[in-house]
Amino acid sequence: MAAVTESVPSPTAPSAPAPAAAAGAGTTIRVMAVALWGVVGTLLGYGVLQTVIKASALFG
Amino acid sequence: MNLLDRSRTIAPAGYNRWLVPPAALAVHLSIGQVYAFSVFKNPLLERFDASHTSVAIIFSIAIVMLGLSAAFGGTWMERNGPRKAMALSAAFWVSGFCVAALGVQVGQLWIVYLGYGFLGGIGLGIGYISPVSTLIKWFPDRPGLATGLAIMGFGGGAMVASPLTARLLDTYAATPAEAIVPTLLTLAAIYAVLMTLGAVVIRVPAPGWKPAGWTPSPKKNAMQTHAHVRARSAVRTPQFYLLWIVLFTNVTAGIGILEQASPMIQDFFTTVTPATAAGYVGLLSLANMAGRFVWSSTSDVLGRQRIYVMYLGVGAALYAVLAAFSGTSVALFVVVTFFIVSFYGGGFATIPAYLKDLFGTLEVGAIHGRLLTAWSAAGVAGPLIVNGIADARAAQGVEGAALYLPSLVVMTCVLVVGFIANMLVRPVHERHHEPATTTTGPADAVPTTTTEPALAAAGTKES
Repeated sequence: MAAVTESVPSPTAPSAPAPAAAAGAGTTIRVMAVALWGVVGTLLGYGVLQTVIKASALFG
Repeated sequence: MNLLDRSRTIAPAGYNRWLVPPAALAVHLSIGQVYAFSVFKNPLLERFDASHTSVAIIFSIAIVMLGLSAAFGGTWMERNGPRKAMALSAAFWVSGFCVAALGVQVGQLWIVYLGYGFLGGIGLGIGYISPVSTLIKWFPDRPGLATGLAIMGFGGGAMVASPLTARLLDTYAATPAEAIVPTLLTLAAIYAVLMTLGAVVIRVPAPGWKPAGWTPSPKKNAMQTHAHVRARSAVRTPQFYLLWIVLFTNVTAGIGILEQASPMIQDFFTTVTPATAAGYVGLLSLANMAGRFVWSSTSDVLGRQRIYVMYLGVGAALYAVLAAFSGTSVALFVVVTFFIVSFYGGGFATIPAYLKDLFGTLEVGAIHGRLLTAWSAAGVAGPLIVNGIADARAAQGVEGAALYLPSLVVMTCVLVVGFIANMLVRPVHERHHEPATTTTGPADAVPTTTTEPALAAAGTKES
């Protein structure tokens, strides 16, 4: 999961918030994205585990 | 609606692109529930005292609407960005569950058609295409990996929803038929939260963004264009229709196994019990999901056309092996069908990257949406072929593995047709490319730089 950096300056949206607020929002969204990785990873793990348990009947 | 605008989703400087896939997975894990619809089948049959066909229509409407909404909503999605598309998808998907719950509560099957089938199907189509082009733009160096990540979630969605739904149906009431309404509403609430989180987290790359240290290679692969083709132009190219045939044949053949997996293995081998057959179905689910990620990622190395040679060519050979020899060994049957289903999943996940190679990234989501009509058509054709032949054979008194042999031969031929179509794919002619000065598409579209027309001219001569 190597970080990838921008090759161009950050764009400025028409209603861009102040830099400090934007930095705070950026941190929040990063935390949310990492948390969402945790949620989808857990769900996928649950699905795979349940399916493996079911599939094990084939080899039982 | 400002929060949903594309401009509000442009990633800040230094944003890690690996923070984008969970948004795609959140949406695809939610809408992937449609493959677990069969869990509701028996409770619905009991609740409505209806025929199998009447209940099966709910799923068919959803799949048809998936194709239609992806086809007609693709251009809108490209124009409005992934967040608005994900929010719209969530609204349709969740309201579809709620309306279906109402239909069950009042005992009106047509309301279930309207809810889960029609409304839910629209949510499926918009949701399916919503993160794909965004991920391709974040991973221009690994588009197969990107699409594999997203579409793997669709396969995984059923693996999550199937045991979860079964658990809810057993928990809420004395019988599953009485528990349908609270189960649908619970799933609606879960998917509302999950899809909303996906819409919040999704980010598009800034205009001109490229992975650090990555530059497009002009001579890497003649099938990869550096130009861009609009969706309205793409549908006028033979390449679009050849890929439509490729997807249609790959999906039709995969459904040939998936549709009949449980009864098929029991008819082939009298030693296989229903419990063991259920385990086999689970194994195929794993093959379907793993194939989406593994084969699509492999296509970044092998190339898209070559990987479809494998899906369709090796797939046809495996179907022939299935018809000729697999009745002799359970292990051989399981291994062969495992690979066939993994190719089915791989075909789904690799097609957006194939489209990106041929048509560029500008409107790849819209083009992908139009191509998904092949899925709808295959969703009707595949089961019709397999069930039609099996029913006809059964009426003649045929039993066991012989029941399926003609279907297996037909599927081999279907895959050969797809194989030929794939071999006929050539780079798109330059006349379909957008001029450099007019490729001012959505904010996250990769703009045509001054060097790209030259690269395109070097690498995309039509043959």
